[in-house]
Amino acid sequence: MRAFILCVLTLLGCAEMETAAPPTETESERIVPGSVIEAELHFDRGVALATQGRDTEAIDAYKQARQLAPNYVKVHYNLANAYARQLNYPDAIESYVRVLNLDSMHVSARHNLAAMYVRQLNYAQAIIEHETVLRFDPSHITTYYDLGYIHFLRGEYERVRELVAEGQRRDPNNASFYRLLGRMYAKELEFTEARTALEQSIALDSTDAATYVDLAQVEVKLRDYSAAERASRQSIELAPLEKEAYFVLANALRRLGKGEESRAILDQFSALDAQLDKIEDQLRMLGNDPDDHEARAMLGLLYARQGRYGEAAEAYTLATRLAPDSLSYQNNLGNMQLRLGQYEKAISAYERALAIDPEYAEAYYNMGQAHLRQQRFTEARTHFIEALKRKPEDVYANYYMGLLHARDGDFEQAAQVLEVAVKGDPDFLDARQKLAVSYLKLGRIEESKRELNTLKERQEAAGDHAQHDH
Amino acid sequence: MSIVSLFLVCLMLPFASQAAAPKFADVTESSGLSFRHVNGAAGEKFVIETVGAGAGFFDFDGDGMLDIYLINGAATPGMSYDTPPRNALYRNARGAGFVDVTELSGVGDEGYGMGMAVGDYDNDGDLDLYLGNFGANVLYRNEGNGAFSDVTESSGVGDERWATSCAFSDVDRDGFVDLYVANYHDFSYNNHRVCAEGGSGLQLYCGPEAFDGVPDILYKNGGDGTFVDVTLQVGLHSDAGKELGVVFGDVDLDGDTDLYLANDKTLNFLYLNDGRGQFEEMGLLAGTAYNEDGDVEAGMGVDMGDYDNDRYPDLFVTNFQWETNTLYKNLGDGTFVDETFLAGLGKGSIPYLSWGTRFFDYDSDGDRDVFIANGHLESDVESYENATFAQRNQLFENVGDGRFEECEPLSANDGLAVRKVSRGAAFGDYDEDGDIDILVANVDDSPTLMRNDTEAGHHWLRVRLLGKRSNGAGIDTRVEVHTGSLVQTDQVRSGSSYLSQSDLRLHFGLGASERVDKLVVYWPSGHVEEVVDVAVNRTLVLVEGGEE
Repeated sequence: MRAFILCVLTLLGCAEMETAAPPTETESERIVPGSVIEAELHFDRGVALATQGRDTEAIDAYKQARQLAPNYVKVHYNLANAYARQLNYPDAIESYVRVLNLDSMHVSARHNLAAMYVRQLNYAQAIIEHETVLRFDPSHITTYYDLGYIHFLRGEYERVRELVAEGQRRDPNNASFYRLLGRMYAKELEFTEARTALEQSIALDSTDAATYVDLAQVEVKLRDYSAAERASRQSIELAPLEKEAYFVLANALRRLGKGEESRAILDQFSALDAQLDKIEDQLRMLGNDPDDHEARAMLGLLYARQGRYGEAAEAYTLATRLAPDSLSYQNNLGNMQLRLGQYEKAISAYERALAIDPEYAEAYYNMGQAHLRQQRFTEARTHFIEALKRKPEDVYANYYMGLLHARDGDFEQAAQVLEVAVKGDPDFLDARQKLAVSYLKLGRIEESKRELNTLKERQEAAGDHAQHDH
Repeated sequence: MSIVSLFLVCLMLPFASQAAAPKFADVTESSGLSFRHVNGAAGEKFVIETVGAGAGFFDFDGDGMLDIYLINGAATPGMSYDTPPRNALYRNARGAGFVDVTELSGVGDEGYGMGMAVGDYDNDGDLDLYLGNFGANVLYRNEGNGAFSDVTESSGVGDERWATSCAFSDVDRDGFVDLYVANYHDFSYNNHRVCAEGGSGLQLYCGPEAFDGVPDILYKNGGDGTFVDVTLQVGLHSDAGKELGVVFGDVDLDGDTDLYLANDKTLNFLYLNDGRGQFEEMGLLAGTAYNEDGDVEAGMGVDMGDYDNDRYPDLFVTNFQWETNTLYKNLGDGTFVDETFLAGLGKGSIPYLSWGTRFFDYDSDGDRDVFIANGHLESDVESYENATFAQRNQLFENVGDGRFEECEPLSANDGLAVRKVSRGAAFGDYDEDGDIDILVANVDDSPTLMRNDTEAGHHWLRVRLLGKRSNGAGIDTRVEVHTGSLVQTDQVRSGSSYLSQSDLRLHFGLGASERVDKLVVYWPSGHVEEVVDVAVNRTLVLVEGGEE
């Protein structure tokens, strides 16, 4: 299911998105002269922002364009797509409907509208829209697949067969049709046929992790557990964050008598599942209420835990729009942008956090980090000092101050702050090593030796511990 | 309809004897069941309105005939009734229908009712009644004279969280049944919200993801009329699940009772008992937490039963529309495999939103069929989806080789053709004619009493178990019935299905067999008894220790 949703949303985000098609003659006539140019400028800005993944700002630009040119189809369309990417389904639907009111033949808008209905589990309406797309444009290949998938979910396999047959007639080398067929054969217990179809799909597109999972599931049914293991491992290699392959792999390993490995894989599956479930929950809640800033922020946090920093930054951007006075949202947004290397944006976010609470030590520290990563050492020092004024014992602020002092050759100051860092976290080995070096530079040989010995002991303990764990 | 075409409805069996076309008469009205469930809805879309209620068959007065208990909702804020809705007890008047004895018996609880379970918690020889409510739960002690006393407070089992299904089981095998109460989630009128999921801008009921799970409760029976919450101590404390269905049974045949929980959009839990009443959750490793695709489903009702007659009890979970229900086949090695589609229970269940369920042998042909009660959540679902609010219930015939086939209603008047918004379902032979009848609880509606009129002509044996060292109602007792090479297994079970209680007596369909070769009884106390060469078509009463 998730794969399907991602698929339709991906469709929304690709070719059909930032199409800057010129307005039709009819549309041009409706637009007030003078406003057209300004609307175009806003529209182009929106496209540029959306291309950078900055949908919140893109929406603002599209809205300005819409105000100036309310009958401009492409503005509504791009606005709808941006809303859709933000999981704001009600507004996306409204904008797609506006497109269709202006141009009922707009196949892409109708296709995307259907995808919105699917996301809301409103399959009946999605089917109506998809069928309309095919009436207007029988060559709209993805609709054969998307519509077929809805019927597959509903157990309406005869219709699936019809749609796949027609889709394949028009596009014989489309891997997705074979995948859909394979999944359907599996549900109909025709496992050999399912295997053949899925292998054909892979032959046409060997990069789709989901198809390998389907194949692995079929191999389990055919009791070929080694083949199931191979296929699921292939899937994991292609998409290590997708959970399904882990589940099938664990199953296959258990049947192969590899119980311990199976358990370990199941643990990985569970961890991923818990994360993805939470993400799904937030997405569902946002589908109901796009203005739920807590859900937006939680989504940001969950994406961040998965290392999906771009999506996390976008989620936090929206959260900060909805709740601009939230200190943590601004700070977390800055952190995501920091991870993405967007240092200036990160600094702006931290500045907004400090505008909310000028005593917020974390924002000063993070700002120091942002400057440090750009090798702006003076600014970094200034912000670490501010952080330490508010949290004098902060381990990391002291550590980085130590590095900056050492860089300036001021080992006396470096040793002082590194001592605080080591005191705060005796297992902070890097700080201990830098402290030993500082002592050495200051001629405090015994202290340097002591630190190095301690460092060695703790390194060995950590190594033993790691070995023991292993 | 000719006999030939009748047989086309359900296929033949390779062993035992031929399947008979199911025939269930809707006798609700003629039986005197005037009860009508209310969900208290006032238009606010409180999520409790969707969950419905359970129903039960149990012999409260010990006259050998199954009586009926029906659970009711209550007014939600903004709604009022001239007469407050209450639960109802109907006495079986032996062929003269059912008589409302709620007032006399004193079991007309007016709380917002959900689930029920029956057991003899004080081992005094009669059946007591526990109610899971949205609000304080209730324990009624059967006084043995047709009346019950509300002993909730003195027994310490009146928890006020949102309870759903519940069940008695003697988890520590001390001879007194303990009590498990499933709690759904933390919805209250104070954190109520409405969701728009489903599209078309309609305001709909929120799904379980909108609320946080809360821990269930295991009450240990102190044997002195009191219970103590031991959930944490025995390893059952978790707020990760959103429980709706509860079933106890010995999945690994090690002599103790294990616990399986159907959870709504969270993992289903399988808790294995270590024999001393300590539990460990093993659902993920056992393969019962997810469906075959590794997806969490919206678990509602649940049952445990040996559909393939390999002695190991299997699991069946009912789920949401556009999901299948899920059949977990017990492989006997501590693991299960999702056999839903292989067994023919997949495709046919996709369009339905399913709740109450049971493995039971409707035609006594020697294998267990499956009944499923269906009904949607949203009264206006038809306006935005190709689905209906009221739905037909389903019966799947076990065709004997690990597969099931759906039975269509024989006529528009058949009980299987009734379309209501069903929830709980209870099973028992209320008319004592040797086959199992069905009682279905419907939301905001009258129940459906489906009298089994299937003309199978098969033999059967019913077993009633009375514990001595074990608990009085024989709950958790496992019975094997040997006829030739066929061994059927079942276990006395409190609760299960969805919010409901079925007859505690075990029914075994025997097909053409005119004698039972051997019957083996595994009492929860550890005592094992055998009875040989048993006559059929009767109720065999077995008292622990050899009395018959």
